[in-house]
Amino acid sequence: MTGTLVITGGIRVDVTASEETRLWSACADGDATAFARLVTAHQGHVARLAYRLVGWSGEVEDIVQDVFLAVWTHRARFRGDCRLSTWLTVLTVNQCRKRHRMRWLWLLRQATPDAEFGSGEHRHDGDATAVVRDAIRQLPVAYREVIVLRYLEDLPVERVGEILGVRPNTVNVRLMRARQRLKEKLGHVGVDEGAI
Amino acid sequence: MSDPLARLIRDADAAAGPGRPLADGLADRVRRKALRRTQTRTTGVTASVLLLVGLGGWWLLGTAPGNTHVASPGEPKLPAVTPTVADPAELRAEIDRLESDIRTREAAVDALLAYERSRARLAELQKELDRPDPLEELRGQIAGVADVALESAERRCGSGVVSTACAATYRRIVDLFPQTPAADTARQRLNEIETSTGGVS
Repeated sequence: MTGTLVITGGIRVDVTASEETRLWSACADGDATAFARLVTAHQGHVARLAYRLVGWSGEVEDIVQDVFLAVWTHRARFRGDCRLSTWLTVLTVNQCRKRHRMRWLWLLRQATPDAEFGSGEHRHDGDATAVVRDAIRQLPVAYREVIVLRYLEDLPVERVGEILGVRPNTVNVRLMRARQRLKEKLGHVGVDEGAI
Repeated sequence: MSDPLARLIRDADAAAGPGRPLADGLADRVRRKALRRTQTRTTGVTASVLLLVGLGGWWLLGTAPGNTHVASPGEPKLPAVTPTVADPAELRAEIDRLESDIRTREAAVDALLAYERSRARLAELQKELDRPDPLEELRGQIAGVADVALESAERRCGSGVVSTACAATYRRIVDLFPQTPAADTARQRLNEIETSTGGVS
């Protein structure tokens, strides 16, 4: 994956693989500037993934911050066996799972109306896309992860398995079950069966 | 992709919008947070070590906490938890100060332990000094035996009976226990016997 680096003045440039390797090498040695550039290049991707994994709501900024905190803290452990973006995806998935485990906080947030930018999502007055998002949000975490990674991040099944630490067959099974559940949910609330 | 469900999911994602934009300076915030964590962890570990050293010292000295004052000149205070310091130089200085505190505390505990050991040795020596002389003890026992022998002789010869057997008994006491009060008494009795018998015994 090629990240996008925003330089002062709003100019956007692509961070090539070699540039990323150079930046990462400097970052591993504790170079704060190189770390800042890597964060700038990848924060959009991490934020978008987290936003989708938590169901298009929730405190994404905290998750992004925790992801890059883990990167900075464990920078010496990254051996370069995979692309930095893959590692970031794994970290983001793990952080979202961690957030999900803290269910009491999640429930507290749900109990506070209009507190988040995703507020109002549950009141989908005739909005079919909101119904779909709601149905995905209600899926178990394991199913939501494969849906997001496969259909929204456009990753092949093998990469999804690599990121989630499961075999491609398992990913396929989860995808099939997730689709089945989505079809059931969307059928119940009257989303066009033909579209499904 | 012609999969209608996948298309529906993508449409739903696109309709949700990009989400709230992230605030600037994320990298700086991350590094500051990492620094705070490190500092908090270091302070916590140092405080725990100090606490353990203190409790260990008290436990070794066998005194309850609160009853003993660890005398150490210029006693350092426990480090205050200040998780907001962001400067690495200040953090380094803080760590150096805490390490210095640990060394001072350890030195104080070592000194106290040495003092306690010397006190225990002194008490042992004092006990050694207070123990009675074995020679004196033996002399006392000999005197006791001599008293018993004398008492036995007195019982047999006390009724005014003067005989050669009595004289022999008293002489035997004098010979066997010469340095005892019983020997003095026996000598006195022998003199009395010699006087009464006119020097014939």
